[in-house]
Amino acid sequence: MALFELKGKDMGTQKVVIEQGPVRVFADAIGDTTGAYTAPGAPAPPTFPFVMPYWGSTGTGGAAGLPIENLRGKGRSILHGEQEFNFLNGEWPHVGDVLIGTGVISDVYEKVKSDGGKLEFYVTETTWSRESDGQAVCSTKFTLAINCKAGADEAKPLT
Amino acid sequence: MAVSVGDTRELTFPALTRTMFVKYAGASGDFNPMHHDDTIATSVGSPSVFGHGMLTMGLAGRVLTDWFGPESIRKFSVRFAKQVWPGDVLTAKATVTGVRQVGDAVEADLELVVANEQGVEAVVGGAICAI
Repeated sequence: MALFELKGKDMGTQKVVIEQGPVRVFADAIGDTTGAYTAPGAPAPPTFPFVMPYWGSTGTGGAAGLPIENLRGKGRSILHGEQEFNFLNGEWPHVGDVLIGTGVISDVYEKVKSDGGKLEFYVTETTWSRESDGQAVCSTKFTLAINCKAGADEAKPLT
Repeated sequence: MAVSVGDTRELTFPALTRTMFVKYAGASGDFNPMHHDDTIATSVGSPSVFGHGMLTMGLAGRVLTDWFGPESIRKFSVRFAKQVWPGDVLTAKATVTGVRQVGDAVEADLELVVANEQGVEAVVGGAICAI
């Protein structure tokens, strides 16, 4: 069984100061040479919110907040299944912004595969709001998928 | 900017290299060795390291930002369908599937596909952009 009991779990809050250097380096890493992301006050690239936890107060990103060791096992292949970004209220994250992220494990579900295996899905959602005025700026939705072969280990129960 | 259903834009990226994966790892903090350490990747049966899904999504986003501007995106979502490998030449293609008036603004719905030179789709998704 997937760890359905994780659904609804509060993942707490984190803070990021969007800095010019990381935004420029991120734009360079995705090969964007337009110069749109290099100035003070520049917008962040659209997929930058996914890495804000790494550059922010928690220092970790991706599957952070999910009990990843419980999800590993024989015949269980862990994948980044889906990713979504929403930009809210006509707002956009910019260099210099201080954002507060609040996260939740919003969904846990399974799909049976025709070969007798199954897919487990763990979805986390984080909403980022400006510290200065509380305005929600953007949200990210991360779906971790675990491709379980027929006869694969089950997830290890939470203790 | 006027766009119509069926309008498309494409962007073809330089062949993927391990250096691109390492740069993305450093920019994102994703140091999963499957993306930069061939010794570990091959020891668990992978032909080589493979690219971060989020690198491919980042490349794909450039079609949208080149077309509509960096702050135009309202929603951007993808499913990661296949891994991408060093040497792959990826092309991202965005297609307008709808145009809507939303209050004073006009928004376009887009379908987005990133495929390699054999046409194998690595990332499929969609976006809503203000135009």
